[in-house]
Amino acid sequence: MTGVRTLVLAGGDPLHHNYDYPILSLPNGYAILTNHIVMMLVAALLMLWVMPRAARAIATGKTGTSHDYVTKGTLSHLIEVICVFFREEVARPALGRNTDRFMPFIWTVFFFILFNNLLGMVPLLDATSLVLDGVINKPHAAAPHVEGSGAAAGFAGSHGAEGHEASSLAAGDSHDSHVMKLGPFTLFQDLTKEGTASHFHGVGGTATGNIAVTFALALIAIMIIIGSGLQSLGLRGFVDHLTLGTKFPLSVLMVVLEIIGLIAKPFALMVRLFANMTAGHVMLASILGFCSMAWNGVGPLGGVIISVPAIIFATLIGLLELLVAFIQAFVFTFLTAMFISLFQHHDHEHEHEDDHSHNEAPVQGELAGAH
Amino acid sequence: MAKLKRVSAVLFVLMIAPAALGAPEEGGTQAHAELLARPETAVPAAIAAIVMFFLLFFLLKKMAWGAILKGLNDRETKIRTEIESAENARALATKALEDYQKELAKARADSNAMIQQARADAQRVADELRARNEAELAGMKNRAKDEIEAAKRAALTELYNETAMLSTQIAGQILHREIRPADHARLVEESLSQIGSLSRNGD
Repeated sequence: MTGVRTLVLAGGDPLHHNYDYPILSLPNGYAILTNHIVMMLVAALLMLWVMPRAARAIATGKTGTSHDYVTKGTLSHLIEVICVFFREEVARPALGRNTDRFMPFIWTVFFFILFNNLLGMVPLLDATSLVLDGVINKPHAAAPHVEGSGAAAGFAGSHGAEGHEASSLAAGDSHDSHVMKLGPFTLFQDLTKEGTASHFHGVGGTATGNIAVTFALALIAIMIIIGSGLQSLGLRGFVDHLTLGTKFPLSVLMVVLEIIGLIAKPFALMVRLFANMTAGHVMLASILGFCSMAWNGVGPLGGVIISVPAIIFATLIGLLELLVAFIQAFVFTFLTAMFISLFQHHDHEHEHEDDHSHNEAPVQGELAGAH
Repeated sequence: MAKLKRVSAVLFVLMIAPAALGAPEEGGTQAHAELLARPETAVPAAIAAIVMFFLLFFLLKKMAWGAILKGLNDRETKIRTEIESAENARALATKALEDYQKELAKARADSNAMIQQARADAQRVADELRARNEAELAGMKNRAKDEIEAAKRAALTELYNETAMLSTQIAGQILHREIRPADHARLVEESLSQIGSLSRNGD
């Protein structure tokens, strides 16, 4: 029942899924392992497992026959298609002959964000809460007016000697009833301090719905954008680029504006990804929250009546979220590639013109034919 | 389709089960927006994201992206060269076909000319043969005519001789007189020349 309550309560606080819960904290309060760090680790490990496998299927030169040129396996096909799309449709039109230099970065950005977005769609937090809540937190400890020692006792009961030390430490620290100790470290924390089922939360959630993570990703993006720009244009050229070719008095204004632009670009990247990933989960949590609200408000019958449309709607929103997970990963990557190309030598413009004439030739032919 | 329906029905029941089982009254329904960016978790999360991203980047560059890039490039090159070689082969085939057709036409023209030639030759040979035959035939005819003429003349001469002899004998008998051999010869000679001129006139 506790686990079920956890599930229902997941809908209680609409932001419940979006907090980054500390799992292991230093004595000064700073976490060294959080919910979202675990999720990023899972995503990274998944990528380290999946990508080399796909790469082996895509790689050529294994047998020296024409079979080498055939990619085998559904997942490898999917990854190859995505890789080709980013290379040919996103990077090449913007970066021209520099495309292959940036592909590893662009692919890493996309797949890292995508994996984190998609992992956020897996209801891991609820699943792990069910388990952790059931194992660590005895049902009576999850009662509304439980004392901190009760929670710690539940913990000690299931963890033996190690838990005993934790228990005594927790008891000594009883002014904060929502903290569990493991040696000098703090293990799990009840952020909302409501002593509910979320006391011992699980692991899950969307790392890309954490503004600190999207901040880090945007910081990486702007680092690469400026770094590759300096590499391509040189310091002089980079500054000249910021003036947009204007002369002295105006150029000062231009440089200021461009620097603001340089800050605004990653800021927009950061907020866009965070907001999109957070909003979907808030929406899902709110809609599913109607179920328990209706139950508490109008009783079991009302609960079921409200639950049916709420769950149908939440399912549809879930599908939309799946789309958004891909779109936002794409948008972040696409804009990063665009911003990189802004600070590159544009020596590929001729290729562009060639492409243009290529594209227009048939149109002209058709027009001529129409006349 | 039926399976999909069954699975979605089960999922649906599982999803509404918590509501049906009843929700406890307690619990926070209040959002804590300030918890979205606590420095205690935000700073480590950001550092972890950066470190993890670059680790992932370098590891995957070694383990995956290099091979994928090479694979994509190889495929591109392969496809391009295959298309090029196919186009070349087609051009070659078209040219070969043209050459062949040209040669065929030429051979046809040659054979026509040869047939024409042979026909002309045969005609000529036939004409020659016919001409020769005709000439030969004419020659033979002439020869035969000449021979007949000669034979006729010889026969006539004999006949005159006989006639002269006979007439001389007859004349001698009539004259009862022996004609001397010299007279006889002269008489024969005379009559012969007479007959000869007669016969020549009579011709």
